[in-house]
Amino acid sequence: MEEVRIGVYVCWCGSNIAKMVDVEEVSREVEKLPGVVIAKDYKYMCSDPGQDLIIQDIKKHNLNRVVVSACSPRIHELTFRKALENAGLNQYMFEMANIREHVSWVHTDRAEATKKAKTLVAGAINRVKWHESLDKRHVDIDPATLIIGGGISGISAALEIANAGKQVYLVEKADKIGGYVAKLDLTFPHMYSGKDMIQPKIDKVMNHEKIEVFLNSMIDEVFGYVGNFEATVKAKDEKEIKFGNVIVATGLKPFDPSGIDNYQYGKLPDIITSLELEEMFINGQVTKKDGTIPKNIALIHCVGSRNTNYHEYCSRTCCMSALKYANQLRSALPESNIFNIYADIRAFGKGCEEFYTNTSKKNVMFLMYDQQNDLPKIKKAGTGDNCDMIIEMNEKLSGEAIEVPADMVVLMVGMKAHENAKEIAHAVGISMCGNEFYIERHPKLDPVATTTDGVYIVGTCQSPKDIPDSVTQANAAAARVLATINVAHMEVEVTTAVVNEDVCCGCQTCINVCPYTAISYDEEKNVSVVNEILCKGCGTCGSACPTGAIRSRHFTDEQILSQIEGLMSMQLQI
Amino acid sequence: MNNRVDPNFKNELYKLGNKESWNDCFHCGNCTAVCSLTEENIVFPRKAIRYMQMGLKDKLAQSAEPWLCYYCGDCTETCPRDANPGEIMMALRRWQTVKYEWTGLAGLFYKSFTSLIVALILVAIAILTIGFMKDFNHEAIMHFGHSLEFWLIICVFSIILVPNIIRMFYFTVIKAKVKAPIGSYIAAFLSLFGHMFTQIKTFKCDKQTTRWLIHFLVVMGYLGLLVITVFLDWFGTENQSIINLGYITGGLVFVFTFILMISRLSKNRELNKYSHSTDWFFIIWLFLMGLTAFLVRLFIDIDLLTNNFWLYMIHLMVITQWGLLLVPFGKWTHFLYRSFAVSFINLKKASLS
Amino acid sequence: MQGKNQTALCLCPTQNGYTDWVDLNEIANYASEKLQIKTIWFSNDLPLLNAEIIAEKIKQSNAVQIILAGDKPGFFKPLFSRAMRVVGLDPKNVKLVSFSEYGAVNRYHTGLAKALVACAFYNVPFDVAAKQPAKNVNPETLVIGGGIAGIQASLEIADGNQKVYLVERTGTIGGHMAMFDKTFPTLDCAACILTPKMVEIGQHPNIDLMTYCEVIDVSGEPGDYTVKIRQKARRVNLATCIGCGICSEKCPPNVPSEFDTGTGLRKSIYIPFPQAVPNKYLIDADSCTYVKNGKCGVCVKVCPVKDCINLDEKDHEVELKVGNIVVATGFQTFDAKKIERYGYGIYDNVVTSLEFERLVNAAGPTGGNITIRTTDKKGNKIFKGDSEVPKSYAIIHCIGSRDENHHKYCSRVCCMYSLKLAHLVKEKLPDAEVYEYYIDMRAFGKGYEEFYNRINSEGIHIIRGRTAKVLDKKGKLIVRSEDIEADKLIEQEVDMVILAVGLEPREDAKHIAEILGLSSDNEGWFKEYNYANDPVGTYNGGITIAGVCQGPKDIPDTVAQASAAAARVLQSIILGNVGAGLNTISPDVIIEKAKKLSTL
Repeated sequence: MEEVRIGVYVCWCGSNIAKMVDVEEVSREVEKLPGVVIAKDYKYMCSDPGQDLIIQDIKKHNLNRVVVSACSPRIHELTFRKALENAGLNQYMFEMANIREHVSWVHTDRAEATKKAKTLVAGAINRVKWHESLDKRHVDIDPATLIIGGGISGISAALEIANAGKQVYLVEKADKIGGYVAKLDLTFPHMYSGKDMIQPKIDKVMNHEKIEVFLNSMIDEVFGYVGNFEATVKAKDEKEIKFGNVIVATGLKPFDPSGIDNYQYGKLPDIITSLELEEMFINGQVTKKDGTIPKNIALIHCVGSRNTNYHEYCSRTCCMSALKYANQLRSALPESNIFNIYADIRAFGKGCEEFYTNTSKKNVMFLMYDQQNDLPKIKKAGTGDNCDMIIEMNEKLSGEAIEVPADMVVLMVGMKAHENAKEIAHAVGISMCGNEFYIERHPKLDPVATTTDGVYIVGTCQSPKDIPDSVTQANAAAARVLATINVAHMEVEVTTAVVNEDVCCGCQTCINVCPYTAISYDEEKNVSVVNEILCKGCGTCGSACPTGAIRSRHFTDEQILSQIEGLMSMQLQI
Repeated sequence: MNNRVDPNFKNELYKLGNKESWNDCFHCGNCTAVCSLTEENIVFPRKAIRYMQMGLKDKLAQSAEPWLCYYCGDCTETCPRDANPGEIMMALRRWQTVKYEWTGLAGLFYKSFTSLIVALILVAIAILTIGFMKDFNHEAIMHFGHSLEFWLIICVFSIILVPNIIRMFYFTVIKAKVKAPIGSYIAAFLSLFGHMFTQIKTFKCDKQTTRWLIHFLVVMGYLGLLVITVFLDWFGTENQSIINLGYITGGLVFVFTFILMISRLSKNRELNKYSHSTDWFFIIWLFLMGLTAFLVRLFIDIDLLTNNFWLYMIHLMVITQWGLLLVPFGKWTHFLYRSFAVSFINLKKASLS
Repeated sequence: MQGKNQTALCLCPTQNGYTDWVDLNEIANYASEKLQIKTIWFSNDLPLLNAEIIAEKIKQSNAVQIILAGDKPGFFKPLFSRAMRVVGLDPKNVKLVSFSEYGAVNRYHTGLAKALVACAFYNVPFDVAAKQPAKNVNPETLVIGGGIAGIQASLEIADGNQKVYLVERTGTIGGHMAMFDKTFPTLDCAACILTPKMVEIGQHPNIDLMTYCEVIDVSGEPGDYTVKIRQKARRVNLATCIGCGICSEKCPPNVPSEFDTGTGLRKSIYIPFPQAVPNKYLIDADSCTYVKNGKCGVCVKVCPVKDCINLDEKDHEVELKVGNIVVATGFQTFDAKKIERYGYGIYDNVVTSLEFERLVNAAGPTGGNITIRTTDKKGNKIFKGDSEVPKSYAIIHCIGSRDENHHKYCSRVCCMYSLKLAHLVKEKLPDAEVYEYYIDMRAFGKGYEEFYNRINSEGIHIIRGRTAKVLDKKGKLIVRSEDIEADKLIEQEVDMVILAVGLEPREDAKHIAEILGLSSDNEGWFKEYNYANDPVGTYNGGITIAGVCQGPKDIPDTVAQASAAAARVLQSIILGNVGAGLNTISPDVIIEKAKKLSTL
């Protein structure tokens, strides 16, 4: 084996790390460890000069391994791997010690934190000694794209890609595409027609020569990897499709308000959800169940949103929808009394604050309640009340306990993740956050990609959003897809499992535990065989293998054990 | 139900001056914070605007705060929603005037311009009739006029104004459940007169000094003129210093009301943007009163009155219309409510501390 | 199908009182003469408070379909739907033609408005009738603006193997995002997530980065634009500068640093900030002693690279040929001096949120120590690391936003960044008191409400009530606000006031719009092709907009929009052609096409 020459770089991350970790001491101490040729600290390792520092040192000191102790490898592992490549080193000769998320951000004792940082770096140094060169593979990109979900997001993404002349498969669970937007009479804040907006798009999708639409269909499981996915569309007739990228646009499910006792949904006749009201507008008839016209109409915002008993998050669109309904009601029923019972008015979009201002000029009463601790209570009115229902609430802007007369109550229900979200997440390989919305690769800088290459999430399956924001995301994902198609090939990870055929006893334990069905059994040789295309490098087989025949590249036993050793030794030293 | 919101309440306010901005307020609290007259527990205009938007009439009747506002215009100028809080406060004061006035005539006159005109004409006819009945005998009429003034003041005060103030007290102190110690009642009563004559609170408003001075001079002139004509018999006296004092006070009244009229007409300031018709009656009659009184005494002094007795008839008409209609049912009462409101608010403060 | 006699047209005049609006009479004439619509109403003449009377009118007119056309006629639609129902007709036959949806907002657009009405009449979607002719496209793209939007769009296109010219006005890319300390709601440090992208731009083989450059003219047509760019004199050779910084050390003048919002100092020869891309120096001609007096030249003498610094370099012009243009020019913050009551520019420790971002930033003028503002010997108002530490802070939301006297719109980011700033203060100074004054808390994005709840539990006083004025009382600042929920007026004494200034279009946005022929809305933000359907396109073929120049938005929304703009560019390059733009099509052509495609 060649001589190990390691460079260690400790990042300040501005003050993020430096305020809790004595980075200079870390750098001084680890420089003494065996194999370390040079150790340095710098304000922002990830910056241009920071990376330059590493590249220059590799050349100058003939380094063959690099450890960077900075933030999470999720953020910058790729950055530094690229730097290594630029310096002519194999990018896998690199290890990162996370002393920000794992140390400075979570500790309050500077001395202890510094000690822990040193320990982690020592572990990384020990590990990197065992790293070996791995070669990136290139895969060709299948120019077709699968889009799951035919709402406004899916449709927009499909058109954006198909209009560039590339094949799209659009799979929709329902019997028509259009989703919730197709059920809208008008859109906020300009009161444009929802139908006029989406119908031409639906027609285009249905007639597009580059788009194949599968209605009443579900996707089974997606196999493969970026550029080379395949799946079975399950419908009346099953169909195998192959594609290079997947865009998931499964959309939303409205919150079911029957669980909120205060609101009596389902118990009193004229308490309806915003979706039911929308339908009334489409039918040109806003009436109570008995067919008469309601005199007092209350719209309650934040139903199921912004309340930790239901969903903590804000559903982003309900405020504006409620204002839209107030305007629609004012037009349809000019004599009615309209009450908007709200928590904060979130009119943040382009033209939305102006919409709110204009709505307040339309004789709408705005009443504020505490959406977390003090929900309004709806009860049946008495005989002398001159209305059907009474809403009791504590109004926050006046500080008064008041009663609001109502003949119809509209619950502005929030958005939840679609009921199939979990299933699709499993089929495609996406992670979900606690509330079942999909997790993007980076919440700020990569809002439509996922941790799986070639899999994108757009629209309300990622988090609640309005139409322009959904369309924007859909188009953003299309950009990524078009870019990969245009390049036509892509680098893929190579940290897969390999079987040492000499050691393998053919027990097939690995085949049973593999979640990706990536391992098959070669009867002739009596050994297991890993399909490197399907293998996602999860390591399950390696830990299950009784003979130690399976090794996970970049996660070998030597690497892991010596990392642990490193961690322990430093601990003992100090 | 008294805590039931009432979306139709604004319709009542439409007639009292507030036209389009009643619902514009989105409750940022800027007006309360920008106002120089608000204190820790004395918050307005926002709170009153809130009661108004929600139609909580009882709450509004119980708030003396609108009377603390001198309409300097700061809140309206800086309102981020152009909701015109100053004007809403003005409208609310008119509403409260109507609320506290027990006969209902104030409400009638505020809401119906015609009824006020009819009432003014009726009074004018009554005066002419009396003149006719007395054969337009100068001495008899002037004697009658003098005692009419005297009795008018007594009656209007005891029948209309005092009960109204008691009503205001009932709403803003008793119904609002203000529980202040007895000592604070005495202090509040003592401070009352200072406020009444000086309106000293205006000083706390920025850029109000000139306006305060003009108002102060008009108030002083008006009260002086009242005392001199009614109690010192200006038109009958031979005492030269009383006569001169009368000229000064009468002059103060019509000169400065004239200045006020001009500024209202030019509408260059925020606070003068929206004048209600009743405001005009108030100021014009005040002006006419000062002017006719001044001219009557002048005509007496240069011996012209005998041949121009119509002048005194006009003066008498103006005085009677003023005393019988505009004082008890018009803006004059604001002067009274405003002064008492300061005392009632002091009680509220005492009860909170 | 609906015949000519069975359509009623109702024209809705503008609700905003514009005098220069679309000429409705001309449209009425057109409808009656050319489209032969017999029933034409003006909404002003109709009893819009009574569905029964409208129903009666519909009945009399024998119409089975109604076209509501004009300024946002959707506001009247529910009444007409109801009236149709009363007549016994299908409410779905109320059609909307919103002139503003496709940018018909003044009388020059009357022709376009006519075309919109005609499309509704002929029952042909406008986008179909207005299908733009395809023009051959030059595969090279110009991106204007090197903020996060421009960076993202450039990378997206370049990663698709296409050539990009990224033009940036200042000496470095990074834009406003590079100035921020941490970003909400994840509290990632902005530099940590942005600098790698910046580095990528600098290294990308497909990106030609042009900093310190301005676009001065655009000519040609969609797919084939000729762009004139002024390369401002940097006076330092980009190719040979090694970024050693010796020149800067020796450079005599100290001037306020733009990157630190003027709260720190820099030299005349400088890099805007240590992680700048390109990491090369430049000379600010306005403060350079040599440029001003013809004497000095210290930098040239100490520079270790031969002929690297040329103090006599002049601006020069460059010409580029591109097919697509992505406009990502961003924003500027509201000038807080415009609201005197808040004391900005009068009291030293009333600071803007952007200044405060620099103050808490580890790479800022104080190294991240929060201190009061001081005046140095030369009169510069700066932050110094060793000054006194303020103990109490007021953060005032909505400065210049949601205000009829300034900007009517909501700036979309201030609530969240204010909460973040409160958190940063608490993180650095756990004993500090922080008061936030807000109107409505707009925590709408993914993880935002959760962030708000978290900050709320950190001991920060979050008060509903907009501060009205800031006063000075013996060196302390008094913040006067109503605490609406506690029902009292508060005069809070604090050491530092942070004004959460809103976003507004850049001063030169109008100029850029003129150069490119873009439409802007009343506030000055660039107008997108279609509010909901196409938030990145414009009426000009081959020109897309991304980021805050279209309207305020936060980083994830900006990034998504930038990628969306890139999608449009990539699409046209892959196809080899680009739509000529709505503004090149004559309304008559649209009408003819609609007529032809009509199923009537």
